[in-house]
Amino acid sequence: VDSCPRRILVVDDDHGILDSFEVLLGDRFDLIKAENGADALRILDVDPPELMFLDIKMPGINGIDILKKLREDRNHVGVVVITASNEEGIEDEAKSFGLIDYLKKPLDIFEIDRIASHVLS
Amino acid sequence: MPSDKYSKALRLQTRLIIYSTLLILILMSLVIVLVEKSQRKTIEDEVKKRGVAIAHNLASLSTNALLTYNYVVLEQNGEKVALEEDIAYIIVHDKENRVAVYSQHDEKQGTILADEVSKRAVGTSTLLIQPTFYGEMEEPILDISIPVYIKESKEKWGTVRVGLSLERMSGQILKTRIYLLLLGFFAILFGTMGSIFFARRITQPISTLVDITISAAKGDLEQEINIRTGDEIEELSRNFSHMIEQIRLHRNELENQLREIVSLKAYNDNILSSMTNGMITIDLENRVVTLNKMAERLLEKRSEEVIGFPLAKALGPQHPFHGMMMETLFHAKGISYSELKLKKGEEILWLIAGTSLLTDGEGKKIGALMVFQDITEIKALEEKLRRSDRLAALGSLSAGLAHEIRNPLSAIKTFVQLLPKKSDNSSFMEKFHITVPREVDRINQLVEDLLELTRTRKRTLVSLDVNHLMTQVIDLHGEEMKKRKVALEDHLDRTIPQIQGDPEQIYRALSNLVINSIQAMPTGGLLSISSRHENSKAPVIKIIILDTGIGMDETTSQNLFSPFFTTKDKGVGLGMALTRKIVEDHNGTIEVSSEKGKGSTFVLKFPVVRT
Repeated sequence: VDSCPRRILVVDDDHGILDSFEVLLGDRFDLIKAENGADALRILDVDPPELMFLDIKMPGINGIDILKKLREDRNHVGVVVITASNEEGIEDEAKSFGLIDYLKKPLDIFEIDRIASHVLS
Repeated sequence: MPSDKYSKALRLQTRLIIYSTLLILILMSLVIVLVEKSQRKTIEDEVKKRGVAIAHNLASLSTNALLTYNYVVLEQNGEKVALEEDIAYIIVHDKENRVAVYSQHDEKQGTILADEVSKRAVGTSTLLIQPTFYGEMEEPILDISIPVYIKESKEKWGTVRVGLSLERMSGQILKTRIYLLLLGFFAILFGTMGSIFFARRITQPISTLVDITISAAKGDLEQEINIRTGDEIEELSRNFSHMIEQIRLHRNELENQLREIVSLKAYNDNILSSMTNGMITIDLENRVVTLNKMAERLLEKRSEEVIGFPLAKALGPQHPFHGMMMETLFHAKGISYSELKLKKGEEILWLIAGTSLLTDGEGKKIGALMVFQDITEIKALEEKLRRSDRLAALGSLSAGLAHEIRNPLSAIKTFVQLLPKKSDNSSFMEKFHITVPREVDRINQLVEDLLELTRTRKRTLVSLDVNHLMTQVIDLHGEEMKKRKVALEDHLDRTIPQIQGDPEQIYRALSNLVINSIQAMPTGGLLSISSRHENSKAPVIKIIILDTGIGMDETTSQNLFSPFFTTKDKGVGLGMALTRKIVEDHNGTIEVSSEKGKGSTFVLKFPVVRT
């Protein structure tokens, strides 16, 4: 058992979502929240997490932009996309970056739990 | 008409002959009469002269015998003279007027003759010539009487009378007359023949010319005129030949032009009948001049029923075409294309129709033209498209709505799912009580906005100060701006007039825009607000909200005011759609210009109602 908790980044411009992750994973993991793409990239650069939950539709730098940046940087952090969108184009494009999973909102706590535990075990 | 001119030419010849013959006749008659008269006079004079000579001779022979009353000598002399030619009788009267000698009438010797001629003869003192008749045959004679005087005496001693027979003279005159008549006859004969010959010579080329003119008049312009008379007729034929040549050239030119016109007309007719547009033209009297095939089909009229008739009669006075054409002619200006709905039996015919003024080469109006097209199918397609557009809009609205609801739903779901496990955790419960109602409220707000967007609400209009509302909005978001490092530039013109509006609604619109701008600047920037009064023909209040935020691409800014329009960046939700609705409900306009990475500018205009 590691002494320091594993690091997880949640990127979403919706405070409700960020708050949900806080109550769900906050007491077990080192949970970092970013409410826009720019913040997320900075965190990814400075203090990279082991797992990232990423929203796609955000103002400014969006989820796809971040995925592109990760590929450019050969950053192999595990990404789980969380989205409220139904657009197939977005799903296909996101999946082309190699995701752990692609989850549609509303999210299910058991699914999140399972992924987090599995990836970080 | 060119027919039977030939007979007139014949008459010309006949006339020439008649006139010249008449002329010859008159001239000859005149000549004959004059010659006969002069001949007769000459003959008569000669006879008279001879008679007078004989009488003088006898008188001189008889003077002495009369003085001496020697009747024997007188008789001898008388009988001798009486034997001369043409002497009908010789009478010698003595001093007492008794007959001394009377040739072949001795029984009269010694008597006094009582006839009038004898009385005048014995009574004369000079030469007296009396025409009279003599003998049983009553032949014409001249009685020539000469009184006999002796020298140096005024006493008359007797009278010598010579009866001169005119028979021979008459014969001579008759002969002369016969000669003259014969001469006249031959002169007329030859003259007439000559005139016939010359008349023919003159009229022959004229006849030829007439023949040529007749066939030229009938259309044969390809003939050669070969008249060589060397006179005016040749000149006439030359001129005529030149004239025919000119006519031929003109005719050829006309024929060519006609051919061109015919082919041009065929070409035009072809275009008209091939046109997929209906076309009608009318003249200034509103009569239909042209109606093409497509017009026939669309209006279900045959051109024979329409062309030449007034438009109102052809199509009916209530027909919209009638009004449009009248308007075009009246204003001398075409009407741009507009849609028309016509009833065609049970069906509805949609047409698009426009007119233009027809003018001649000099720009004078000569009629009007209407072109129209059947757009019934297009209309049906449009309707279909509108329906699918509506469905697509509904689809995008639903997608947007789903997106906006799923975030709060997701949060609620998480908290609710965790509730059984963490109901003892006071920190969790605290967050639960904050988050769940907030997220439920968000959903409710969404529903409210959606309803608001589709609601047609009666607005309560009051005079309001936009600056005041804007200041309130800025005040409310002051903290947020500070937190996001957004600086404010206030260019509000405090002197702008008030507008009529619903303050709550306007506040909401302004608030939406300010929030949008603040959110567009996650890493700080500048928010500039300004207001100004544009006092033009239609005075407006102009409000400009400018940010130096992330900006938008063209697709996003174009669709910014559509409900739930979403891109990969962000679903815009209902805020902007609602804002536009509010502005437009106030008869205002809203425009956005934006550049990705540089920022966005919103310009609102509200009309100022002058009181």
